[in-house]
Amino acid sequence: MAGRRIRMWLAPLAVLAVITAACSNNNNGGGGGGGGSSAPAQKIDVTVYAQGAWTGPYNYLVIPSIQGGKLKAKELNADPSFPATITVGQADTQGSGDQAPPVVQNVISDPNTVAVLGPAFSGESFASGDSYEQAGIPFVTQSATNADLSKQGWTYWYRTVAGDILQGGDDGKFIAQVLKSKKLFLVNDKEAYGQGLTDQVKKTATAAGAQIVGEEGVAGGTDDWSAVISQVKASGADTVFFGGYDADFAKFVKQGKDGGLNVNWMSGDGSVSSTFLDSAGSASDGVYLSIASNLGGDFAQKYNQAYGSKASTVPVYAAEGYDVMGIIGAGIKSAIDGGATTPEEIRSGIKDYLDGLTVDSPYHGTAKDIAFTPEHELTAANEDTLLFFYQVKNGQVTQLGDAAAILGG
Amino acid sequence: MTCVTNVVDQFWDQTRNGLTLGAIYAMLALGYTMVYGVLQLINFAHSEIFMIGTVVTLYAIRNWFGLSEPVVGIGLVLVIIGVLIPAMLASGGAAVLLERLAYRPLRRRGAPRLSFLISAIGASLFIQYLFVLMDGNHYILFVRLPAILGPSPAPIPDVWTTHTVFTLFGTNWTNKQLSVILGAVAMLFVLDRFVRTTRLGRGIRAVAQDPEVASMMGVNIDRIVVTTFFVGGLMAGAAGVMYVLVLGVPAFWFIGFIPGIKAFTAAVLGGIGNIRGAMLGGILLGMVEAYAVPCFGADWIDVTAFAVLVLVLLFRPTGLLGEQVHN
Repeated sequence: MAGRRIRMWLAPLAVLAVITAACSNNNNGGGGGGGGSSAPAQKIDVTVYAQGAWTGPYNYLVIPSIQGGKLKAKELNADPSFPATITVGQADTQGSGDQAPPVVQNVISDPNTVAVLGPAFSGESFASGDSYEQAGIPFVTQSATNADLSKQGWTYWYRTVAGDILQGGDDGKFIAQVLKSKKLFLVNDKEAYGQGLTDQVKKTATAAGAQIVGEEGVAGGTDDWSAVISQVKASGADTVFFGGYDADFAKFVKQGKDGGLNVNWMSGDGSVSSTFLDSAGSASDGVYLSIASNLGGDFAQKYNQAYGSKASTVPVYAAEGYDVMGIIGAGIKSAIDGGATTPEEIRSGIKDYLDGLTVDSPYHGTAKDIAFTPEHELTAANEDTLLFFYQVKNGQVTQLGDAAAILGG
Repeated sequence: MTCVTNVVDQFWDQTRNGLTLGAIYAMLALGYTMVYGVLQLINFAHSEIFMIGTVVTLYAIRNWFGLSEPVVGIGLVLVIIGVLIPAMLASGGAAVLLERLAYRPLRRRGAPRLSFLISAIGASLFIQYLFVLMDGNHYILFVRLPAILGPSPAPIPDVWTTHTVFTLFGTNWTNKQLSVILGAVAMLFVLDRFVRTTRLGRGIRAVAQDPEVASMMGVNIDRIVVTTFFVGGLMAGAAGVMYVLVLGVPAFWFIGFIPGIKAFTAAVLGGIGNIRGAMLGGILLGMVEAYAVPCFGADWIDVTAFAVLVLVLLFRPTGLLGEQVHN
């Protein structure tokens, strides 16, 4: 009970802290001129909530995209021609679908809400979508990749990240064509995501001439990988692909290299994180990774400058968070320029703007061009440009290029 | 058929893997079996005593020694000893405290068995979540909890590099694997001697056989119970150190769950309450799990392990070496 009472005390304090922080950011962002306060008086106050794991064990996967979103909001607020002032609201679900409903209720009941950046994970997306749909609030996810999200009939839902079918397929081609693997060993964590990913890899890798010499499912959270490593060794594999998450892949790679397993290691977006680098240590060197997030480019520098010591070493989806705030901002501008004044009008204006983003007239983001299919899935003239390959070099996740460039279309 | 050919192919590799894992299971199984021997209680919080060993390993290497690079030679020996001693003492101390707070009050009041079980599960959860809160941002009353663990796995600095010591039938045995196996054998041997030849050990055996008669013969039961918890805790602490150093896995508040269940299984397999049985059960379980992978695949590790357990219990209901308790 005491704990709860303390937390109730803390909640307003935390909100206050966030507001103060946001305000001070605005002032800093304006440079010498004290930008925010001297903006034109007719700016409309709107709130964009960022929904995902602000706290909890998985927050390292979400914080970078929230940081990216805040950075873009700060830039927009400092721009005198931008007709609104965006407050980034905290919708903290800790990444869990169970905790989403009350958080979503809070977002909906805020009269200033015009859009949502997120939900960051697929599970919380399923738990939140119906409510946002009913309330008519556009919600744009930067990182939820489950294929079924586009089949829920949500008209206010948008996704700016490529799904697992594209990723797994391109990973399989990469293994066969670029790593020139002849004998591939597949390991997954028995979860829907990991298994689905390895299934896609299997299809394209075998089609491109690699032979699957073994396949194992190892439950997430396993600490001792020695038996599987001996199995890989005995199979004579030259490449191992792991479908699963960072913590497990780190243990696998570390123990594999310790056990003298000399192969190419590769995994997908579930393993791209600072947790993987920290846990695997020097064993992470040389490991290949793929993720539909652009960790390189001009944005990386901007991000590091803005966040300094608070910047993540592997800022997954930071550029995507920045771009989602960018399209929401463009939507707000288009709505207000079109005569919208109330939050309800702005919401539908944002939706109209997002619906207008097609391959022929995309939004030019920092990570990539953003355009949607009629189902609101991300699309591009060449979808391979949406996935990026990386290799860990000297403890850094280093970009090799996008799939279109590396696989040659 | 692939099962047999694969097992033959990988026999020595998997034997080595099984022995290494089994040695850790055995050390952890002792804690379950000894407590069961004297109190007929499954101490479900024992996995958290193990977890404390892993956390002290992290804290000692990161905070006390401030190491982040591999150490070699005599320095490495000193580091390992410098980690083992505080980890074992912390785990032993925590086990004694656990007995004092969670079990002794119930024993004094002659509470039914079920109360002990619930108390054990409660203590297990309490310890786990206490460590979740140790991220430097939480308070108990007005005392700030130290930043040690937090909600996500905390990597332990790589201080120990792996190298091959010798090759036997094409299988490389590394320094880490040999240290676990030899270290466990040495500790199990010392423990076995302790229980069989010392006065306290005789007390433990006497209480296990018949606590009433033992107390009539002048055995101080409380002292025996505390000793049992302490010794079991020491072993769990050592197992925790080996687990994270040898497997290179991060310390985590939930790390004890799976090894705990496996060690409890090992204790039952060998005959719960029977110290040598726990050693045998641990090694055997580790081997079965290792052979299961080339035989049936990694999906089947747990199925195989528990199928073996059921089979053994069908033919020997009290475990391989038999239960050793009164009644």
